[in-house]
Amino acid sequence: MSRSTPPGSDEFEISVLGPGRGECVVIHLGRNEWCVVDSFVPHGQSESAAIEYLSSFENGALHNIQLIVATHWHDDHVRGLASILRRVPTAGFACSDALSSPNFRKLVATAVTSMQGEPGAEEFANILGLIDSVSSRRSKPLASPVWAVENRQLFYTFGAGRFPVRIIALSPSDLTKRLAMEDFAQQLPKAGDSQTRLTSRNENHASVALWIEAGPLRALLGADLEHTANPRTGWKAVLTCHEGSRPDQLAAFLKVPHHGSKTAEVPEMWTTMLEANPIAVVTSFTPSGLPGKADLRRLDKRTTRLYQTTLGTGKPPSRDPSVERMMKQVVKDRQVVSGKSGHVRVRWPIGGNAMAPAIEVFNGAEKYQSARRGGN
Amino acid sequence: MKPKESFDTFSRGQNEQNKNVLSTTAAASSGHPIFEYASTSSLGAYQPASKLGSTAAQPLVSTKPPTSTESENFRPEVPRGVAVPPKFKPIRSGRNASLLTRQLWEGTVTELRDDGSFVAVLADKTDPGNSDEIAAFSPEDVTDDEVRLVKVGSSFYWIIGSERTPTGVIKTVSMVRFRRVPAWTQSKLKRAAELARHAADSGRDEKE
Repeated sequence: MSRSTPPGSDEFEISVLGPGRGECVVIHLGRNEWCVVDSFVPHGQSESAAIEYLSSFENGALHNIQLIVATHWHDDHVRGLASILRRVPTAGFACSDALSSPNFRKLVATAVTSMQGEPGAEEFANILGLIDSVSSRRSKPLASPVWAVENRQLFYTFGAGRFPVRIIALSPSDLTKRLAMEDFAQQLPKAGDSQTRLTSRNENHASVALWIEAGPLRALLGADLEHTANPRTGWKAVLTCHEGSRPDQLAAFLKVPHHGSKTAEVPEMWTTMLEANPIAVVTSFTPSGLPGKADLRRLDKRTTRLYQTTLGTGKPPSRDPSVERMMKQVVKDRQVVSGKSGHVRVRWPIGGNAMAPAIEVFNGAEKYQSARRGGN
Repeated sequence: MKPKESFDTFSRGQNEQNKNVLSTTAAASSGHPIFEYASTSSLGAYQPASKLGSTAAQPLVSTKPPTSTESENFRPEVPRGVAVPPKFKPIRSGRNASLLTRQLWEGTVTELRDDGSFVAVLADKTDPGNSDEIAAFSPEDVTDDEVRLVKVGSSFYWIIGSERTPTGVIKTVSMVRFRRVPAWTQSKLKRAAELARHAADSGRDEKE
């Protein structure tokens, strides 16, 4: 099927898009209504990858976005979200409750006023500015973000002739939120500090993992949530919450958390939250070398239906040979972040009896071929 | 070292070390050889062989002509050595070294390693259509006065270019230059806090 063929009204779709850095999940909620989780801007473009994909249907899908979720504020997850909000001001916006902290607002403001800048914070400043400007014009409905915390329902739709859809935040837990707020306070610069870019990666624990219910189908989007030793934070807290709220429900789909990093690996997630042999999609984060070969082998042991949006690093650009020679002399461990936005699309027909999914890959995305299965 | 600096050192250094040495910048720059004369008392057998030719270290040269009282002992001065002017072309004023930038990246430090090297994300500023790259730089790539600027989150420019020396030699060079940004001040932090408070208040007013 062509990439620009829209889903049927009764089809549930999860599309995972990602280059070497950045990811975006586009979800069809039925009846041409959509949800976008995180965003990146493809190379050479100025707007979100979600805009490009939804516009390709030419059926008004872009303007039927119901909910935009920022799982956390790192630039590989939020670039282009403001461009979606600008195009679709009627969409709801949800993000981690940790970001409601006044110190996060201050941190964003310092990043914007800093001479160094910080793309993730600047994008968030744009988002918050848009929300504020829309609410001050009283033009509804962006009065405030929906602050996501553990077990909070972010979206629910139902009605005659359609399958019900519920989107629930699984994180952050109360403790994670408090720790993240303390982290924001610590990151605030003091007089005399250097104006450096914000690159702290500690707030992954405050990421918003999502549980999606579409008719009888369940999906788990792991965001960048990581595992911690503390049972009240990270994946341990999510598992405890899941056991108490939805003990019998298992997901058929997983957006692998934190680009397949072992820091996000929790065996109990696979056994208590996912069906056997689920469809799993992993995105890349080349700056940290994720997913590494060992990560892919580990994931491959969990499921035979593992897909990657991007394979390895990108191809070095063509430059003058003398420039290339000098580059090789000066730097080590050089890697090119792939600019190609791979796309893994899964569609389930919810209305009929058959629930067999149609899995398609585009733009260089591939199913992982393990040695065990006779592949690479 | 640049040729211009080498030339200056040659002429100036000789004169400063030994005022008796006959060596002038004008003569040197004219391209003619400079003849050096030793005093009569130091000629021939009086001159230790070990000192021959070391005009820079010995007071061998006299610029004064002999007086009448010295006439009976007068002997014509014999050149003891010759200083050949440098082969460098004379430096024309106004012709300085130049750098043609052929490739420019903006880097952001993402990781400091134990061996002093650092990892950075590089954004291609020459061709923004190119993908970002990740690379590790060694500490030797940073000048001594910029080492203190290497921190996680600091940004720099990496330039690969063609340097043309004043003598016309062209070579490919690499330069890493860290951005020097002023430190946070109380007033700037106050402005940021006010900006954050204003944004939060406008959202809260609407909710109420």
